[in-house]
Amino acid sequence: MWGKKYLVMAQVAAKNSATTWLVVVVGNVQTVLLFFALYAVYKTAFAQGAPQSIGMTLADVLWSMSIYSLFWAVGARAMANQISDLVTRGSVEVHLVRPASFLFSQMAARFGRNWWLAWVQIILVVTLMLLLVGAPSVTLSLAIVWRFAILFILGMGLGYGIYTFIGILSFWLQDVKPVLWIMDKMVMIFAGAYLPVALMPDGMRLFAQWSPFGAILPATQVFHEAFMQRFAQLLLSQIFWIVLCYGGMYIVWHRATKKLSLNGG
Amino acid sequence: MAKSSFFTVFFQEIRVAMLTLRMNIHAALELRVAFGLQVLGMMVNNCAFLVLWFTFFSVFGDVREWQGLDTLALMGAGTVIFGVVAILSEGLPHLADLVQTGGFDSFLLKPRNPLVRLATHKISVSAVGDVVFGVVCLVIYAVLGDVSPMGWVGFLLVLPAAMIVLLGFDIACQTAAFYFDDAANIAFSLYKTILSPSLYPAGLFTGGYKFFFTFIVPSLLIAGYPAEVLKSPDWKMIVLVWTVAIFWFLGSVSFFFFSLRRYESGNHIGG
Repeated sequence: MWGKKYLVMAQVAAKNSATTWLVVVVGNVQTVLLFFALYAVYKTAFAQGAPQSIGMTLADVLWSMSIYSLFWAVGARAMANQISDLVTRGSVEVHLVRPASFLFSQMAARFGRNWWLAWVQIILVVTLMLLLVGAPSVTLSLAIVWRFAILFILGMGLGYGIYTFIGILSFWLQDVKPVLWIMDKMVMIFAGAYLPVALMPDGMRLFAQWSPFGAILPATQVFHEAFMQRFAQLLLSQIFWIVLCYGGMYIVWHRATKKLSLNGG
Repeated sequence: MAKSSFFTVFFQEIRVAMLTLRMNIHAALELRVAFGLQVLGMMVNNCAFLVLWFTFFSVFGDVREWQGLDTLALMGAGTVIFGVVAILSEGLPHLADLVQTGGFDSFLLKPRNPLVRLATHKISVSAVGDVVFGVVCLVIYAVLGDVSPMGWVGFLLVLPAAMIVLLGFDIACQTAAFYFDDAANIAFSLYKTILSPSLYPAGLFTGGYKFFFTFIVPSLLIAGYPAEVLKSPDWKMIVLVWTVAIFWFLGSVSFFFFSLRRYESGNHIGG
């Protein structure tokens, strides 16, 4: 089976990462504090009376942002630095001779490495949200849950693809950090890290919906009343960007390996 | 030979630190394109928070006397403070790697304060972008906002204290290198606990949350309180920030040198 070797790679990486439990704990402390800060800010904002047009309660807003943090726990963002480090240190050729796709191997390893962090964070964040704000006001019917799952999983694929693409740019750029920062911040704004996409003005929300930055995480809009009406558009945007991203990645990667020259030793 | 006084040693350390920083800046400027890209990239990066908070205040309106324009004061203060501290102490985050590879020995062998040498042995190029961005924000706020001369005086008084808080917290986090194996990731995660909430408007925090983010994890002291002092000077707030700054700095430096006693060289040859 094609994907079996990558599944094994992910499993091995997950087992290795289980030894660094302290990193998992400390990483989650930071997430907890971030949510306390966000709760403090939005509680104050809602206390003075939120506008009717918002269409979301305080609980919905916090849950929406929790989806954002859970998404990044799976490790997509780290792909850029992971690949860039291998390229700039000259270690990439060791991986190129292996009988597996370098890019998919790296994705599998990163996914496995973040496996336990992601699960710990899911349990922690869900518990924290229930304690802080209670359940979201939206009733999570089966129809909503499977739509959310599709968007979340496709978003993971797109996130991994985009950040891997940035990592590949290290074959041409001395330092991909500026590109990574800009991408990070665009995703932060348009995927709803600190302000849910559903609350944005219409123009901004449409841009978020149709741009690759928002297409990574349209799942955060699940708690807005208009989610079901917008689902088809969100899915279409995601599929479009996934095809473009992985197609572009294929082309760029082949150009990168042709450009690569090894100095022996 | 007469022992040098504390102040003589202090000023000698400062002079050596400044010389090291100047040398690092010259080295960074050798790669002008990379330098320019990093500075520009960081400035574009910082615009994201401006966009976020402007949009937040356009949705919710003014909240507890904080409005969209005040975001310029918040980002200006935060990025200047963070940028200056990062320029002066970019070497600190490398402590964990140096301890693991045995490279830290070279800092202990020199007749200088190891903490100062460690902090200044590297420079952050992108932090220059933070400082430039911050200054631009503050200038725009000065033009568009209603800032009194006393506001600027108070802001300039509280700025060094906020820098000291951030530096002290960074020293405390990086000291994890003497206790844990995978200290680089741990120290970075600990440092992010102060960084993320620091760019939130301080006025939106109330009650227990305000206490926690002032005294336990002093995020609000980094940008929120300096921005509030700029908006409306409050001498009690300036005294509070200086008090917490002195506590964090003395505490973290003591913790660093106490932890340094645990350090045992790995005898890394060539390190």
